[in-house]
Amino acid sequence: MPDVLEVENLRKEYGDLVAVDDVSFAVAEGQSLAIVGESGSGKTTIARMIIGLERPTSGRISACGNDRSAPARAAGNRRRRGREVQIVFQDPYTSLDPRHSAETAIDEVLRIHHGWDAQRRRARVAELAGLVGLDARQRSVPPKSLSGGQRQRVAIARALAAEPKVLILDESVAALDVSIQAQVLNLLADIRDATGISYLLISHDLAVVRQLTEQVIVMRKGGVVERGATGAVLDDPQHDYTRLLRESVPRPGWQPQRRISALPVGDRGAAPVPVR
Amino acid sequence: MTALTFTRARSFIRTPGRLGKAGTASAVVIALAVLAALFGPWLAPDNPELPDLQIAWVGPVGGHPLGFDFQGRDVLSRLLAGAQSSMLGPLVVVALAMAGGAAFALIAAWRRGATDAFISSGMDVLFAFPGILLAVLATTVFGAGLTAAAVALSVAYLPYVARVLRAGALRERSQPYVQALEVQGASVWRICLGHILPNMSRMIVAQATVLFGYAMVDLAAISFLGLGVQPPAPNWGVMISENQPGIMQGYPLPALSAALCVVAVVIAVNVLGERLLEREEVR
Amino acid sequence: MTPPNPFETGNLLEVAGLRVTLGAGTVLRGVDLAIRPGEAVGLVGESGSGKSMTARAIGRLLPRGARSEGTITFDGSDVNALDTKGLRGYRGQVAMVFQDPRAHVNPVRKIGDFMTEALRTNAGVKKAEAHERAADMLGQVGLDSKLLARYPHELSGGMLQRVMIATALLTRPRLLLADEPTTALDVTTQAEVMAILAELRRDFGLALLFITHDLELAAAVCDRTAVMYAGQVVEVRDSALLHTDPLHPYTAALGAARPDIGRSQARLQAIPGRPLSGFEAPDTACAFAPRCAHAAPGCETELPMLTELDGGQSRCLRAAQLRGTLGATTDA
Repeated sequence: MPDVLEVENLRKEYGDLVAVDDVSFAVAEGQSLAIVGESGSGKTTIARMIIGLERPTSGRISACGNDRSAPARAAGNRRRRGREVQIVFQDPYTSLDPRHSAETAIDEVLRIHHGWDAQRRRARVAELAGLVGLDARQRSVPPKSLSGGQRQRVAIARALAAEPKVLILDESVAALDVSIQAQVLNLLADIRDATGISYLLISHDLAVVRQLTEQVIVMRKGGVVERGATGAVLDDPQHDYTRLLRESVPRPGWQPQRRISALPVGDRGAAPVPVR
Repeated sequence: MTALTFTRARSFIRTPGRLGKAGTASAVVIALAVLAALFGPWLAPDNPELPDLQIAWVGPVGGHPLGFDFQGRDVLSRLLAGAQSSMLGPLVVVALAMAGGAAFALIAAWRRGATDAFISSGMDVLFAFPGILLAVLATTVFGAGLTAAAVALSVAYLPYVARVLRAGALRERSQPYVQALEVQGASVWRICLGHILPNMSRMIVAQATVLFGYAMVDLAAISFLGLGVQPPAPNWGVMISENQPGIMQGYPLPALSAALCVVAVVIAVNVLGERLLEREEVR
Repeated sequence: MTPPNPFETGNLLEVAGLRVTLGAGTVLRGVDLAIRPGEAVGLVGESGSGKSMTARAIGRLLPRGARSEGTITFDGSDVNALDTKGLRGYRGQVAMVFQDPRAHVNPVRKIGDFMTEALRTNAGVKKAEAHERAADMLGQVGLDSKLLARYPHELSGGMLQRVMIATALLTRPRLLLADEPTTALDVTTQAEVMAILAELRRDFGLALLFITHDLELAAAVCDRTAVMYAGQVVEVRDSALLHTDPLHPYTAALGAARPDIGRSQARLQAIPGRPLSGFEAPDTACAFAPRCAHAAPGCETELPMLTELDGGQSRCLRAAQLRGTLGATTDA
């Protein structure tokens, strides 16, 4: 199966700080990959570089066979790339234009990508809204009348309107209530079954990662410390840091451990585990 | 997690959707001023420009509630006829300054980096010129008149508008919904005009109403100095200027009634602007 | 460690029939809770459940315009009847830690000033001694005393939250109200903070009300857990039994809806609909009934009361019938 997303030796520096250090991975068509890490791991920076919101310092990114190692400026290029990779952000409260209903937002995306007439667009908007489970009322009201879970559905429908091959989910379910999170995770699985889309899941939540992806890479401070099949990495972690992450998940009989008694100022609360 | 905020301040704000007494009064004042601006010359009972020195400074008599000015012209008629130039001038200033300021603000916020630095420095230079000074310069170059003065004032106000709107534009620009549109491939025009600008509407309304007040006063001052509207054309600022001697001589009505018109409209625009903002805030 | 008082047979904190209204709506519709000295009780709920409002009611930090009924008793005295002096004493005994530490700290004051403020102004402690106590407490939470001279922005979220915990403990409180204290932290930092809290509880005999949306976290860390829905407590249970033998369908559904780190499921058992808030809940029916897999016709017409069952409590009309069938071992 061809790869829909390829990242090679990706690197991002902010002055002296190395946010992403020589990261490579690939996502095959129909497959889903998770990038797991805590704050400062560089996982969100990678997502932003793939989607074109940050410029890599060096390295190569390609999606659907097209190179996208540098952000596109011209609208035409951005449009074309938008049909390859899309993103759903974490915060449902700022990722939608507060003045536009779901219908308007989805319709706008259709107008950007296709030269369809109003009737055809209306039909497709209804189709997409139905696909994500938004009823007639929820489609036509501004976001402030919708809950967090409903807003994420709108964000997903809007992203799917471009018919991308890869959907980046940047902590997209982290801000949702548990019961709503389950609904959205089921929805994502259904969409994948229906369209064959690939997910790139950025998350710190290992249970969500297990539920949704087959492959995982674990990142710490900009570098990859472990990679492999999700089940294998979570059930039998090889790297100390992965083990630490696994151990930090609350469960019955959990005894949290203090790792170190005093941390010097400047060390942003990270564990004293070797990076690689 | 739904944040349940419950501030006491709410009790000071009027019921949502209503303008309140002050708001309604302001709306009425502005409506009257607009009517005068549109239909003044026809509504005026007397010829506003025909002098009759024999009745100069005569006080209110039947049919002439505000008396006569220094050239024996009916004050009420002149106020009504003068509404047009008195209101139009500030309107033009606000429109030009807001359009220009918004344009620069959006360009600076979108491109950021060197372009932003360049535009901001340019604005800093413009800040150095007071509005009246620019208007005086413009009138010396282009001749006295409302057009030159209005354009000069809008150039002088532009940096204030640009600075405030740039802050708002930068904030919207970095919001995820704008980034989502970028990623979709929406054109810069579509994003700026269809999304960023509309989401700054609160800020724009606030700026516009404040600017209108300043423009009206500044233009009245310019006409007062003899550089704006030229006599015998009626204009509230001109009326203050030409009837000013009357105040010391015991005939304050012509000058003061013109001044009152200016003040009333400025206050009304500011109050209405505030009420409109509050309404949108409560929504 | 404070020796246990042989005359203390009762609860440290007792909340009975707590109802809170805000404007025209009811936020809390019936909260009953008891915490024994040194005990950790978890309070779990989703958006709108009222868990934060409960903590604020206990801490007497309700927003303006909120009215409360029912009783909150701390160490035998009615909390709402305290005068200014009594309230100051109460605040020394009951401390609170919030979710976002940066929102509760003044960014232009040093950590040392922030930590010692209450001691210096309320307890009249001299500056030098207050700083010494603060330095000591920082050490207890694993931070260097050099931090006293730093500003909040120089600390990471995890470190700042530890500072907040240390500050809360300076007055040697007997009860700590922690409102989502680790939600904004990395999972490894969360583990560290929970370890510190457990140690401090042992050392100081501290009771804890731990509020979170994370059922697993509460169950792992607290002796007993209370679950809230739509402004009411719907279950109170020993944490060890919460997953295997819950007494309320909502608790079971909440546990089942979470993805399992050990395996990927074809479909998660999502609860249909969305969580109800206290404002929307009916007064004459079970608030969870429309979403409940075990609802019976009687659930829509009668408001269930919190009743004792097998050492725990449940607000379900069918609790006795459903006993033993709601556990995680049952596959739906």
